[in-house]
Amino acid sequence: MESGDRVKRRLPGWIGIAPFLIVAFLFLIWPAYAVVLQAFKDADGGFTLDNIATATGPQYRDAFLTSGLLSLATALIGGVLGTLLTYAVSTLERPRFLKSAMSTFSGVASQFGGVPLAFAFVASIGSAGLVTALLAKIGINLYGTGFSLLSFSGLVIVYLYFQIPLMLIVMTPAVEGLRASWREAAEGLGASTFQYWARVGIPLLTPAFIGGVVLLFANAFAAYATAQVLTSGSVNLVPIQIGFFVQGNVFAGNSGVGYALALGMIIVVSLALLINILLQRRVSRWTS
Amino acid sequence: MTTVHVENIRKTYGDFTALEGLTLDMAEGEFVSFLGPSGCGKTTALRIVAGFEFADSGSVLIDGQAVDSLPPNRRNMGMVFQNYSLFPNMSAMDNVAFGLRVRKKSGDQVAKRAREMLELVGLSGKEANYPHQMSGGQQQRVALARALAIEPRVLLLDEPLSALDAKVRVSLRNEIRVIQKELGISTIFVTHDQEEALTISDRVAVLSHGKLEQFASPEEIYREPATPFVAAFVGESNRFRGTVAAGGAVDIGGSLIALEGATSHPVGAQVEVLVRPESTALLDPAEPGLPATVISRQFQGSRTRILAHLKSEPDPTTIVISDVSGGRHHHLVSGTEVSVVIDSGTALVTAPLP
Amino acid sequence: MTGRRSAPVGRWAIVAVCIAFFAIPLAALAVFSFTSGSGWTTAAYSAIVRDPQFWKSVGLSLLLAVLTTVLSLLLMVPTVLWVHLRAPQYRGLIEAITLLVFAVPPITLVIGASGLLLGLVPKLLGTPLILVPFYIVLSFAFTFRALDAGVKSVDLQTLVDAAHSLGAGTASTVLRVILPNLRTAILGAAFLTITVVLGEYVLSSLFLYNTLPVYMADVGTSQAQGAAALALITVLFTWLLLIAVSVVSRRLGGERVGTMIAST
Repeated sequence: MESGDRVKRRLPGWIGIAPFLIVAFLFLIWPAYAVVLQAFKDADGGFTLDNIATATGPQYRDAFLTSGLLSLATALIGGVLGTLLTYAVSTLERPRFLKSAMSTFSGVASQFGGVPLAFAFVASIGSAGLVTALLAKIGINLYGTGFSLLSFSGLVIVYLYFQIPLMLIVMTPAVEGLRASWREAAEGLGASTFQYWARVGIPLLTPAFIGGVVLLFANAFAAYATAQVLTSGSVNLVPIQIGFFVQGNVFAGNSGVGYALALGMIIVVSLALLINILLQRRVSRWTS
Repeated sequence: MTTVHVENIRKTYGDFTALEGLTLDMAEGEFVSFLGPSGCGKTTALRIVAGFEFADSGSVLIDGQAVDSLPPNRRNMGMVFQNYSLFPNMSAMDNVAFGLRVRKKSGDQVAKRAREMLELVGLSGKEANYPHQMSGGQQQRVALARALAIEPRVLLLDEPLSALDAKVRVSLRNEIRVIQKELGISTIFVTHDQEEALTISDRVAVLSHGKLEQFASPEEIYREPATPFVAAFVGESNRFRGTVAAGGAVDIGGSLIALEGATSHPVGAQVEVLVRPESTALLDPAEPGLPATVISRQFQGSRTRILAHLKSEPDPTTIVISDVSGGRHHHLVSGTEVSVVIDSGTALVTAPLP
Repeated sequence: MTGRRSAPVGRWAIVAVCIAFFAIPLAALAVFSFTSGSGWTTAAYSAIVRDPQFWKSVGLSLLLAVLTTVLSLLLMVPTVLWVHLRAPQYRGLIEAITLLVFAVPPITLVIGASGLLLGLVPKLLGTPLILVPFYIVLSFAFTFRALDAGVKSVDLQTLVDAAHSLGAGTASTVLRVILPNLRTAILGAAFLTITVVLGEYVLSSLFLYNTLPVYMADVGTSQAQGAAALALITVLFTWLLLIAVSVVSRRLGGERVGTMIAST
């Protein structure tokens, strides 16, 4: 063992993490860097800002708006519903298994996406879906109201399937971190339930809530598979547009725009993640 | 100045009886400690007084009026919790001001009173600090200021010092007592630390398994324990087993020891004798007492622990003596023959303890 | 326990509504896959089972899943151990990189990588195995977290010191002391990786490989029942795996492994 030790002591620290760094570099950092680089290149390889201009131009503005709206809608709705669900699950004492069952389910459902999720909803509220048929039986013509699963509103509903559980995962530590002693202290000092929530409870949950909403926003913005499978590109979203470039569905010589779009997406998602991290720090400072 | 009366409180959780027949009377401005081991019901009792738990039967009267139907936020009691209950999103100032703001007091009044309170607990200048920026001791002071700011009728403290360092505990408990005396506010202090309870209370209520064992002044609790539990739990006692003999004596392993307490038991009864270290001495074998041989000695400052072989016991026994007799223990080396002398008046003779 | 006596009707309503929302699509999948115009039938399932493309795609997906899991663990376990025992100063760097994975959504990774690979090594795109290193990258975040949590929970340094003091060599220590204590963490990471790979659509579809999700999407364009049947099978299988992860990670204590998976 001694000779091995001596060898180990002569090896610098970075050797052990080198394989990881190599893989990370080749298959994560370099492609990401390629996106940044190519976003500023034109067809001949020269530097240009045209791609950025096109990507933020009228052609793609709609995509960013729709993606942004979709992400915002599912983040806010998912955020509120998820928080309410978290509070309900955390505070209900019976049945005993509810909390852990919900927690397990959320870990699973937040990962549910793409193809199976799309089909599950097609089978429920698609034009030939079960729920649609059941509603028709009681006289409600779902598709007659102009609703369609393969549309923006359809996507909102589908996205909520994994957004709500994700919010539950994020909010559970915050809700459970609300010490009973804070509530009792507030009551002992004369506060009513409303006053407790207004002055103590909600302010304490707010950073976690915002962090969660931001995370949900990033999650929705980055999602590709579900939207693609469900709408085949009929809903104008940024990830879908990027997908067109990869599949070669756009005019040649314009590929730089695809990179510019990807760059835009990376910026949006990174910003959201940064905000989330900063807020999480605030949460842990208070609940430690 | 408020009186607190607890009348026959009973509280169960399923099969478990947390409190049974708890009755006690607190005078105005009195500092009472609820003392006992974990699970004895002291915290339950406090929470019932505060209104966070409902008693199954019995009543709590404040100034002669039953408060059982009042929710905690209407009882006007100040409570300090064990684990820092300061609102983490508020500064010290805002925490202390909370109760006042909830009562819609004017901004000026609030600020003035909050500052006064912070000064009372010695934290002037720390108004803007947040809980995570303060030490444990500081946080509990803010908690105390916050509870007192609303001019409560009763002050309730639930093991407020248990989570603090030893030194901070000692200084803070004295400060709490000083403040309490200054304000003259009736106070209930829950603790499992008997030194704490004995040092700062006017009276101590000792609880065990949901029952009130004794409610008396610290001196009484220590010197005249009413039950074996109190005798064993509070302070240290030397214990001996024996049989009651005629004429106010107990036969301990063949030696007849005169004990006043023996007269309240029938002759022939199996009893346990509990005696404080201050009332035990190891003297010359000629003195009347239990014959023993010293094996070893452990000096512990104000106490000395002697491992001795009592002639009546097969195994060695530890006997604790105090230095009241003034350091006459150097001669107690291994092999010394002694007589264990028990002060007849202060020994407690009771039925055998489990 | 407080004296709160109000019946939690509102909270129960929320829970009930959410449970309904989550359960209905799954129930619909099940019902859909078993019905055709005229009542209950397993025709959809038998059609799938008879389709050779199905088996090809399952085979490919399983192969990728196993390869990714094995290689990922071979890469990450030594890295985590090294960082923990020898080079803790690099922990922040590695954590930052695993966070980077979230900042670079798979779709952007695809476009960056396709340009890169097409430009440099066109031939590489000929084999589906090229997906493996990318899948390994996707698994970085939760694999690292799971292993890291596992290492933290057993105070690895002390165990290693104890083993050394008793005369164990490096190989012995690793095999007899370290790995057995990391079993739950490794299992958790493995299950998660398998799940993610089996469900991965973005990279496989855009690189034009016929993995299971790609096959499923394809089927979905023509046979609704078949698609539903496939989806149901996939869901049941992956969810069973993920429940196993949850059980395993609960034993690790605290670490919310579920948060770490980016949606694809």
